[in-house]
Amino acid sequence: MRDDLVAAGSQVMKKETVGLSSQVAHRGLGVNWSLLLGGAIVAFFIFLYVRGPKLAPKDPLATPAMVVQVDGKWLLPPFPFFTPGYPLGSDTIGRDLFSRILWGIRPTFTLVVIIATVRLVLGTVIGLIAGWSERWIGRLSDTAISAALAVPVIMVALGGIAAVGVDLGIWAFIVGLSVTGWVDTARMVREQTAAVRGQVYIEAAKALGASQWQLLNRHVLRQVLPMIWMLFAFEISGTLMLVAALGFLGYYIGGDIWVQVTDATAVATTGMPELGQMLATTGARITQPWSLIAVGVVIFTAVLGFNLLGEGLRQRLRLYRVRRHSVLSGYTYRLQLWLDENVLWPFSKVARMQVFRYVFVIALLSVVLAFGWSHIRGWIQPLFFSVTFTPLLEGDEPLWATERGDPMGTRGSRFVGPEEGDIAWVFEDTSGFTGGPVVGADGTVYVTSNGSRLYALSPDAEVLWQLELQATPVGTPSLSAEGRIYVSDKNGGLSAITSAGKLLWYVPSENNRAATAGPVVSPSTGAIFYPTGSFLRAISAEGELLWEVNALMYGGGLHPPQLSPDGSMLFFENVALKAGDGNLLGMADQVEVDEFIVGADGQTYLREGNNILKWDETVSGFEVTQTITWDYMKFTTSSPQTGGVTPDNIIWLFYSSFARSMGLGEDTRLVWLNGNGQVIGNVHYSTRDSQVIAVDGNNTVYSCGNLEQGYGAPECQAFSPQSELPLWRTTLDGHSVAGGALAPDRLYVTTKEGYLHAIGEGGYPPLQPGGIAQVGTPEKMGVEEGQPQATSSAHLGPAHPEVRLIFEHESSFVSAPVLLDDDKVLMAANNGELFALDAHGGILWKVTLPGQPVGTPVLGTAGELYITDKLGLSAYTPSGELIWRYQPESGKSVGGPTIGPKGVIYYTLEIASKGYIQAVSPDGEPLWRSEVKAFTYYQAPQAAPGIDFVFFRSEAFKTSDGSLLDFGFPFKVDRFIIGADGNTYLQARGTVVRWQETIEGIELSEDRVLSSEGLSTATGVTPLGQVWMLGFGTVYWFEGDGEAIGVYVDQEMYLSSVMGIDQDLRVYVCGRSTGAWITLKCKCLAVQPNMRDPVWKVTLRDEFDEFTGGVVSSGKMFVATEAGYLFLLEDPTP
Amino acid sequence: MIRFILRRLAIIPPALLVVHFLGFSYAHLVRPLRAFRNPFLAAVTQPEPLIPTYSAYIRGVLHGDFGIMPGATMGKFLVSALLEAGLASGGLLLLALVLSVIVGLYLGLRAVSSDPPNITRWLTSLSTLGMATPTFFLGALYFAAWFLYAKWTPHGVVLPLPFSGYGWDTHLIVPTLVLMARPTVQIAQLTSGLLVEELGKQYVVASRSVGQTWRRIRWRSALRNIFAPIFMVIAGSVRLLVGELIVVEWLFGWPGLGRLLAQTLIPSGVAYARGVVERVLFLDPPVVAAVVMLFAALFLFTDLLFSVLARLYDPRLGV
Repeated sequence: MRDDLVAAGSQVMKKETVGLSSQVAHRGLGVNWSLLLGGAIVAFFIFLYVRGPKLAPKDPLATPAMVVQVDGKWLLPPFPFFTPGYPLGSDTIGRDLFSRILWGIRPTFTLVVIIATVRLVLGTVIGLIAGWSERWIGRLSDTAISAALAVPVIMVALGGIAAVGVDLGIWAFIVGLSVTGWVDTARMVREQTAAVRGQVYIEAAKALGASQWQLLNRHVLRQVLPMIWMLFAFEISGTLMLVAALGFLGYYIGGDIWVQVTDATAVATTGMPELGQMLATTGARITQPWSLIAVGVVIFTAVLGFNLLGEGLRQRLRLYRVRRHSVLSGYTYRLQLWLDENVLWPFSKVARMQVFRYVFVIALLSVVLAFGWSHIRGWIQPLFFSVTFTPLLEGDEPLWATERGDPMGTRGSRFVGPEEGDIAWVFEDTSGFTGGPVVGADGTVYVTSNGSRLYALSPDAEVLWQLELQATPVGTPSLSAEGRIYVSDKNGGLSAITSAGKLLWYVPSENNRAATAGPVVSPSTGAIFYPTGSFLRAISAEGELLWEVNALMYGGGLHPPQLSPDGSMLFFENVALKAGDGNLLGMADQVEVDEFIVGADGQTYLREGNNILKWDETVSGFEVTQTITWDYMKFTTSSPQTGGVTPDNIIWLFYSSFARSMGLGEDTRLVWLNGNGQVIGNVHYSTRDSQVIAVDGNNTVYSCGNLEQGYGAPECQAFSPQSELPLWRTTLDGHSVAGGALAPDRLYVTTKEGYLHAIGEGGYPPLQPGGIAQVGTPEKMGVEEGQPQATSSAHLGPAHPEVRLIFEHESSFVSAPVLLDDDKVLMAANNGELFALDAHGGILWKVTLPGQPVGTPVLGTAGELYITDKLGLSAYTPSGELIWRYQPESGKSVGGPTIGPKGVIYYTLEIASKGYIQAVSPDGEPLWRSEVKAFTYYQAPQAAPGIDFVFFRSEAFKTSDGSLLDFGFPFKVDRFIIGADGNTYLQARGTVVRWQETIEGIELSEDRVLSSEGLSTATGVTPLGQVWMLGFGTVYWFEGDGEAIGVYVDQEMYLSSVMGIDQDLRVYVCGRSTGAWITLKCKCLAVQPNMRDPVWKVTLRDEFDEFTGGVVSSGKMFVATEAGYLFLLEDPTP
Repeated sequence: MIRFILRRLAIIPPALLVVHFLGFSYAHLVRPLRAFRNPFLAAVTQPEPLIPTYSAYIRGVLHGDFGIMPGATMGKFLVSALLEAGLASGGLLLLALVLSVIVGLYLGLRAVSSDPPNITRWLTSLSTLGMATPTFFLGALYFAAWFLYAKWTPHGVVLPLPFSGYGWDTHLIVPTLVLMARPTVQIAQLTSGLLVEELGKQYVVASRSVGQTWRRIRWRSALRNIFAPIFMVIAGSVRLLVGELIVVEWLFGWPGLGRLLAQTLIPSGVAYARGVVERVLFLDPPVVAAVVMLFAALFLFTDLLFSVLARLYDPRLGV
């Protein structure tokens, strides 16, 4: 009944619409320019969205050049517009902006469309409720709209994103931009709904008994839905605008990545391009606004396009339009009319049938889902999982991670093992060791014993910690890249232990099937695999059982499985499995596999008797790409025990068998083959039951075995392919070898009877400086201005200090402490006193200077002291007697002295508000004086014996005559640095480059170092050429070739300075704490590369104070504060 | 009217207190949450209970201790720091508002043709372009222009306008222009829309038919009728201005409330995802609470001001 009436109503409407052509005269005929133009722009952007990345001429992440030469001028990135090869210039590290924009459109628009959809849905629902309902929910929605309208969306968005955090990817933006972002849509929908609600036909429908749902569905939604596309267009433009503004302010999706800039250098930067992120402000971008402008134009065009489209759609919705008389408009209108009458109207008549609607919607949806999802997923994924924090620390990789060296089981090591077979030390556990040791990134040795103990030993045999395990361990433990230790045990369980020796989790086994070998960790997924007999178990890095399968192979599973180079496959003796789910791969059907071998060259091999087959995984399955056969009959009749491939593609095969008394098999034999099967080395030796421990970077094979199985003392040998005889041989304690590991210049071998042997003198990772010769005198230790005395020498600073306040001065200190010898320091106070103190604060001598001292004194080569005061420069003997004094007629000293070549002293002087460098001869005669260009000149210049320049920040003077030098570097030098290695360096933004003056001119060395921030308050170079930088709250360490060694971050160090750096590259930092907002604390801490936590951290004062400086010597550190306190931080004597 | 004003005024203090508490709790609760996800900060920030912390802070405030502004301006009191920022922002905001109202009204009223009532093309184009121009883009264009100009002028010539920075002199010009661009266009667009709508009404036809001039109808009858909605348009443009203020202050290094808000809500620029250095001000509860409260006060007072003005002009709105 009701439906009939409604149908009758639509009949009437139909009649009205029949005479469409009669309305031509009344309806506006203007070309909808907004719609046309907006549609064109939007279509263009859709095209870029789909095709953009393919059109990009360059890789958006590649940095092909750091410096380009244009018209004979050198340009540093960011390159401006129209640089050859860079149509729109580049970003700050030289990536092509044009390509980045083409790439960036896709993720940004995906994000924007998702957010716009969320806002549209929310807005429509809230607007409908607010406009329709008169109950509390309607009032609530109404209030919500008013409240949301009252606050700018950008404020709410900032708050929302700050709360969620960009590290959660797109969610932060969806939440932040949708909290109140729906309000514009809601308002318009509310107005439309309210207007419809007041209509007479609603009243009529109500009177006819239509339900609320029917009313909404048939009348209100029909009026609102045509607005949707218009609203959507406006939502997109509004969202895009906001996303851009947020990006500009520093909120953008996609975290930072490390980008390889040169072979040796990586830099942290914004990762995959996204428009918002490309706007993110940095100092460079403000002063070189090319990228802001380029991306701004894109945003502007897109917003304009969507706004125009929305406007055009709005005009289409309006019934009456202004009539325009033009031929084009007439024809377009006629075309539109024809379309309406002959296509759209008949089509919509069909489309109004309910069944058709459902079928159509379902079909459309499934098509979109089927075709779209697989395509879109790839685009969305980086949005949802955007943060990629790749640790730069190369040293994180364990030196020896598992029983066979690495997860691939190559037994190879890039390091070179010991050249001599001398045993450095033996560590004993009477319960016996279960397997070989593993060696962490820092050289720490981990080994498990039958007494259920896990030991962590330093390379010097010091027990760092030991841990009681839940059950008797099995085999060799395994190390993950994060330094976790995994141990499998006789109950079939697996323990995860942190590098500090704390049990992280334990996964028991449901069936108590004992583990038969140690675990192996996948470097890609972090999953751990270990065998229990023929079964293989996989545990996730979080400690959940992933799968357990029976590999159905013959062996006893006495070794951990090996991972394929990409981590997707597992090789378990002669069986291959998928690492993801443990499904068996049917490779073995085609060839008789004795053993799978993963080469250190990244290729997969298999051994079939004495022959090696190289194979590859292809689409169709598995394919042998090369067969390496060789004439083995000349050498042996038996089958090898195992084999391997070195990084340079040399194959080694190892033969060894059991008991000689049984007359079977062979003694130890080693054969090296090249890739063509030619024998390049052959060694035969008389031990039996041997095993290969490791193959080092020189292809030397280290093997250990017994003279007779289970009897006699085992023996280790090193064999090189070049020699028939072993390089060395060493007899071990115990009877049978349990396992071994190779570290730089160190071989570790355990025996089942409980002896851990360390062979060779090394054991530390190569980063660790071994035996440093002290270069130069303390005052030239490559320390930046402001840290006059940060020494870097062949001693270790305090490792776990106790703090003692040793001296309190009634005046304040102006200088950093100066080390006179190991425990005497020199201090200068504000009241003009210069005094020497012993380690207990006792005054050894004291003199009063003619003026107020300035800066920190320095020690000459003969032990004499130089100190500047406001009036001049004085030289004192080590015991405090005045030698000479230089006092210029005018000007006051503003910085401490520095000693250069030939003992000449340099210091800064202020005359009539201008800074000068004054050179004074070792006997107190003035030499020259040169003006300094820098605005602030309150520091000591930098000079060093053997370097012919005096540096003051970015200025360089000749030591001979003080002339200012212009080296003509192709970029702006921020500061010159004298390294403790005796070289000269310069810093330009985050780049530190070594340079030297040659006959041809200035030569920059190729290597460079980059810090991620590009900012540092202090930079220095150690005697070994490593570079450290102190940024705001961050310490970076770099190897001389630019490879990063470590980074340490601590908000509390935000305002701090470096007191010293020691042999272990441990940086001692003191500063004010800025973490708390009420109290101010003066803190010191020691930080080391590769350590997340500081070595130690102490609070010296709870009050406001500043450090004047500090000095580090063996096991102790003196620190002085402005308020006149001198602290000694010293390791307690044992 | 007085009662209306008093009633609205009475709501403001409790509303501000609530906003202050909400701002404080937001920052207080979110900060450890953020720190928790940041491996570098996890140890630094210990979560503390909200209510005791807040009451302790309020007790301090009651004793006149508003706390210290964290960050580089070490030792500066929060109140004086906020006062300075408020003055910096307020001046910029007021200037931009006044100018954008004047220019916007002028443009909006000029751009309406009377017979038939319609918005002229130039304003439609201008407003379409203007509303599509991001504020930072305008700023970047200025920077580029500045650099090009600086490059072409001989060395030693003082440039007429400063690059960026703070000051009540020529420093004010560009930030004001950039800040007022979008609000001006918005006011012009909405005003002209209102006027066109008004000119389409029956009484206009009637007045025209009794012989009144368009000029008279426009300025006497129509304009008076749209004054009240124009006030609401201006109140709305204050909100737009504040949104833009954050970007403009950030862009030009203008030490106002907008920049302060951005500093409290944005951890750091590049390298943020590694959690490297977070700003000292980031989610600092007292600062967030105070800044949010000041913005709320600004909105409440402008809303009150303009609704009172609208009611004074248009008694139909009632009190």
